[in-house]
This record gives sequence, structure tokens and C-alpha cells, in this order.
Amino acid sequence: MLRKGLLLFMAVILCLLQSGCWDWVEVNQSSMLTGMAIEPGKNGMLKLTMEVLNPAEAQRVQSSSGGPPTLLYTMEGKSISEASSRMNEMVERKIIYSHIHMVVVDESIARKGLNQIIDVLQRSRFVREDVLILIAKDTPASDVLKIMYPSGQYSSWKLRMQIIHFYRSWGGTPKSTLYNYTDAILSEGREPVLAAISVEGEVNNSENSKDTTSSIPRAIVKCAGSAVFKEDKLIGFISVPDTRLLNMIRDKITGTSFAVPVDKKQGVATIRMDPIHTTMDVTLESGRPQVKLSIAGEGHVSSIDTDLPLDTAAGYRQLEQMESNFLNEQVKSTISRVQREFGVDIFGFGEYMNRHHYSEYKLVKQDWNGHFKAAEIEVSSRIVISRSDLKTRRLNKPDVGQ
Amino acid sequence: MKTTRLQPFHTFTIMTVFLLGTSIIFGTPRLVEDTWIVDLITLIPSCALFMLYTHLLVAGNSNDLYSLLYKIWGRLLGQILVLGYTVYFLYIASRNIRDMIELVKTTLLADTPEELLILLFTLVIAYASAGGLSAIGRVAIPISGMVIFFFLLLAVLLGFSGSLDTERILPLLSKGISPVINATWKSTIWFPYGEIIVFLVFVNGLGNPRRFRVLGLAAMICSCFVLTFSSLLQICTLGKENMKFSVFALLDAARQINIADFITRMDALVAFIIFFSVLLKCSIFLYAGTKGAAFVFKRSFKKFTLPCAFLIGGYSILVTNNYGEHVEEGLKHVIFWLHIPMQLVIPVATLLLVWIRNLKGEE
Repeated sequence: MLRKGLLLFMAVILCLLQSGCWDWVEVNQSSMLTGMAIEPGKNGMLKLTMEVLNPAEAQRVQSSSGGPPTLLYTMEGKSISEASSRMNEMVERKIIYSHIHMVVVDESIARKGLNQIIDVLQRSRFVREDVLILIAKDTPASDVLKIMYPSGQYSSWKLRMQIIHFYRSWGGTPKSTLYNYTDAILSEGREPVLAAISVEGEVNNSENSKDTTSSIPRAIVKCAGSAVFKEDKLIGFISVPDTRLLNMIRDKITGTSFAVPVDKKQGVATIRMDPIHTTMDVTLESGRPQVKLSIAGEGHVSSIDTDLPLDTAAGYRQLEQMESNFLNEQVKSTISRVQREFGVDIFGFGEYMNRHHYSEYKLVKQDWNGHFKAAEIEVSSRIVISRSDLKTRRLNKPDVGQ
Repeated sequence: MKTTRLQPFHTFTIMTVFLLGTSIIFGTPRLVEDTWIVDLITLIPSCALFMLYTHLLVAGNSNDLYSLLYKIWGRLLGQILVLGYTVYFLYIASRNIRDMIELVKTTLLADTPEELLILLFTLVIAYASAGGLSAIGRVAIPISGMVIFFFLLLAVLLGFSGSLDTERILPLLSKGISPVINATWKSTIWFPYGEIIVFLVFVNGLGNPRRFRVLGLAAMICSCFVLTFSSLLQICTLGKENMKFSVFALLDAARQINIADFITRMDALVAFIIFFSVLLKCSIFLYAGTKGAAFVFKRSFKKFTLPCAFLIGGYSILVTNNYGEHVEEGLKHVIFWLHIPMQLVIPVATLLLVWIRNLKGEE
């Protein structure tokens, strides 16, 4: 009897111990951090702007009292970690870092090198590997988080959705998560790119929730192509169309639309490509890298301005030919622009060579970027256009007499 | 000695989970880039090592390590060696607990004091090992099921979230084959495969030496394939370069799981794997250790269970000051000062003595 009683007592004690109240946080005493902007502060310190969710107002559905969905707090510190752990100097709730969507980095910090800020993100067990790292172009990083939107969404959520959907529909922004950056930094023969964003309009007039009542947003954040890095230092930006081709060359695109010029005048045919794949082969011929890209894709016509006979096989062939030529030209010009302006391999040609022709790559490993500048590019594409939505030719009145 | 023999299937699962144990989490020591080749190659020497162990038993005509040592080395030396093995097993057990605590403290229960975690855990392993071999055998079945299930679930989820990129395996053997062979004999033979020597202590309960040999080899091959697969999974998810920097490679791989922004943060699966496998491993080591103490001091092994368990628990805190020391000790000093003598030198010396005695006996 005593033995049983003792066992019961122990079981109860163990149950109490198992409840895990050691690191409890009450929901109404905590608040989620959703975004972070990093700017240079005074005396070489980092200025951290944190976007903290205002639980009562975020995700509001019907009625709202008109408060802002998020609150911004600014703090300076020698490191991100220091500044963020001192956040409670001005915030009343315990901040939860696990749900951070993005880190916006100021251009000037990126030019000095991301190494000073990236370690805390990689090391922390709270920050997920798919947090977005964005570079604010021509605008202070905190401005990105300041803008309010009529839809009631907070900036980092809006921006995250925008980036995901822009990537899916047009491929105009590079994959820009923390993991992609780490991967590119560590990989042999490829330099990182991150998504660039910029603010258009007047930020000062859209920081207030009253300003969101207009149907024309006074300021809006838009994707501005990619930021090109050399090791961890920002060296420049490429445009949105170039970013799309970069994604295509790296075979990291889900679908996109090309406006292919089809006659001497302004006529274009818009072709929606889905899917599109690129395979590459990089070899060394007498010390000079030879890049062979072959693009294969399938698409459908989504608009056409000329009278191309899309009810015949010949018409399709013609259009396919035009698109192939157009793509070849575009890809070549994008690569040569990167070769000329930046001279760093963001396409992963070196990475491919390291993986598939290791013995050749060893010869050029020391100065791969130098060799990349001199690389010869050859592009071939095989485009199949399979259908043309609901109509065949462009609708027009047939000429009299034909 | 009571001989409650285990079913062959129980023996096989105990040994498989024992071998997978902590090495599935920490992965093959990342001394070279192509860890999965190391995993594959290691199978051959470690099978040879295992054959040596079973041959030792057959030649010595004995059914467990302790009585063999006692018989061959004589009273004094035999007792010293048995005590040496006892300490060795308890030491490995405490290192295993430390491994688990490192993972739990960094990922799950950062604020819970580790003393409490260790106390609760040692009570569980003490209870398991006090039940003897048959209890450990029974608990091994669900544990092996869970470990394999969670591991496969990780692989499937990683596949579905599109994180696997087989290109990352390339380039193969970029620094030649010799570093791979070096890594094999420097670490992987001794951990995890060499630790199978602990089973020699209770071959009696596992079946006769011949059956033990067949089951042991099967378990080694099985766990070799799982470990190779695990290495490949980590390489394909993280990449070779990235793996070098991660403390728990499988955990870092599991963090990549993201299916439609809905199934995410599967860290708990990895924690479960290490909980269960460390539970099994430690109770086996504790059981072997208490058997050794019981052999020397001629008492029931159950008398030693709780004190030894607390010893393991306490020592797991004292064993190292920080993670860096823990890893360095595990990869360098333990291998050269403990694993190689205990797993190779003493068995080989014993075998030589057995041969000499057999020859003398024939004359």
C-alpha cells in the first residue's frame, strides 16, 4: 500500500514537472516581430527598425477602429542582436522573433558588406531559413516598413506576398531568402543576388492610417530587380527584365510572359511561357570558358497585334522561330551586360563547371570571375507554342476581294 | 546467470537502433566533403572488426566478454579490465546524454535548467536498464519503429518541399580518395560501429555467438544504408559546404521543410529521434556497465543501476565545459585514448592470449 502510494505521489510530481512552464510567455504579453529594417546609425552603429504586430488591428476583417496594424520601433546598437534584445526599453510586450517575414537592408550597409549583419540570422534558432533578405534601393530601408496600405495589411506581409506572386507570375525577382544567400555565398563559382526594392511616391504622406483612404496609393513599394554582390558586398543593381532572364538562365523560373516583336513596326505577340527550362554546359577551350545554354519551353499566345496566321502550322512555326531568336538575343545581351558592368558570375556557370568538369574548373578556380568576363556565350532555344487561347487569328474584317 | 533469451528480431532491432542512435543526428564527422562515401566504405572494416569480436567469443569458448576477460587474463588483471570496460561504457553513456542535452538546450527547452532534464532522463534510463535485457528488447521495437518512421517522414517532407537537389552531391571525391579512407579509420569505424562491442557483454541473452554474428552483421548493413541515406539527404538539402558549419546537420536539414507555408518547423521530429535513440543507447550502456560492476563486486546488477545512472547524469554535466570542447574531445581524444584501446587493442590482445592458451592446451 505504501509502495503504491509512493508511486502515485511520484507520478503526480512528475506530471507537474512535465508541464514545461519554464519558459512560458503569455499571449497577451507578447507580440510578434514581422519585419526588420537595418540602416547605418550614428557613430558606426546599426539602426534597427522593428515592425511589431499590433494584435488588435492586424488581419482585421470587417470593422476596425482605424489603428495601425503594426507599430515601428527604432533602436540603435552595435549589433542587431544587441539592439533587438534591448527592444524592451521602449516596447511593453515580450517580442517573439519566430515569425519574422523579412529583413530589409539599407543599400549603404550592403555596400559595406552583409557579413556584419548576416550571422545572427543564420545562427538564431528563431529565424527561419526562408526569411526574405531585401536590399532597399535609393531609399532608406525603414521607409519600406513605414508605408501603410488601404487593405489593412502591414508592410512586410504585403511585400512578402508581392514578391512571391511576382516571382510566380513573371519571375521578375530573384529567390531572395536567407537560405539562398547562404547557399550562394558558400558555393564555388557563383555570386549571390538578392531582391532589390524601392519606394515610389511620398513616404511622408502615407505613414498615417488616414492617408490610406485614397484609392490611389500615395507611396508604394515596388520590386526593383536584383542587387548583385561580390562576395558579401553589394556592387550594383540589375533591372527587373534582366532579373527575369537571370532566373531563366539559372532554370529557376516557374512561368513568365514574353512580348516578342513580330514585325518592323510596333507589333508584338505576347507569349505566356509555362514551363520553361534551361540547361547549361560550360567547358574550357584554350583557357576560355565556353558557355552553351539551351532553352526549352512551351507556351501559348495570349495576345497578338498582327495578322500572323495562327490557324496554320506555318504561322505557329514562324512565331516559334521569332520567339527563339528574340530569347537568344535577350539572354546574350543580359549576360554580356553583366560581364561588362559587374564582372561577377551570378549565373552559376562556375558552379556548374565545378560540379560537372571538376578537373577543368581547378585550372580557373583562382580567378573564376576574371574568366567569366571573357566567357563566350552560345544560346539556342527550342520554343514550342502549343495553343492560342480562345481565338485563332487576330479578329479583323477580311479585306474585300480575298 | 539468468538466461532470458531475446527473439532474433528483438536482437536485430536493438542493435540497429543502437548503431543509428546519435550518429543519425550528428552525422558522420565532417572531416571530408563526401561523407556518404565514408559511410559506405566504413562498412567493410567495421564488419571485419565485428567478426573479430565474435571470433573472440567462439575461440575463447565463452558467452560474454566479462567472464572471458576474467578467464583469460586471470583474477587481478581480469577484474581491472572488467572495471575498465564498466567505466568506459558509463563514460560513453554520459557523453550520449550530453549530446542529447546539447540538442535539447539549443532547440527546444532553452530556459529549462539542464540538471532537471538530466535528472528526469536518468530516472527513465535507470528504470529501463533495471528491467534487464528483455525489457530493453521490448522497448527497442517501438523505438526503432519511431526512429525509422520519423526519419522517413523527414525524407518525404523534404522531398515534397522541393529542398532536395541531387546536383549538390557533385563533384565527387574532389580531393581524391585518400582523405575519405583517412576519415574512415580515424573516426567512423570507432563511432558508431565499434561501440557494438558493448553487446559482447550480453551475448548470452541475445542467442548463441553464431546467431549473434549473423544478426549483428545484418544490423550493421542495415544501419550503414540508413546512415548513408541520411548523409545523402543532408548533402542534397544543405550542400557540402553548408554542412560543415552546422552543429546538428539533420536538424538544419529539417528546418528546410516547408510545404505550402503550412507544414513547417519540423524540428520536433529530429528531437524525437534523438530522445528515443539516446534512451535506448544509454540504457544499453548502463546495463552493460552495471553488469560489469556486478561481476566484479559479486552483487546483483540492480543494486548498481540507480547509483550508476546518477553517476552518468552527473558526469554528463561535468564531462565538458562547452560544445567546442565536447566535439574536440569526441573526435580526437576519446577515439585515440578510449575507443582504439578498448575496441581494438584489448580484444586483439585477448584473442592472441586465447590462441596461445589453446595451443598450450593442445600440447
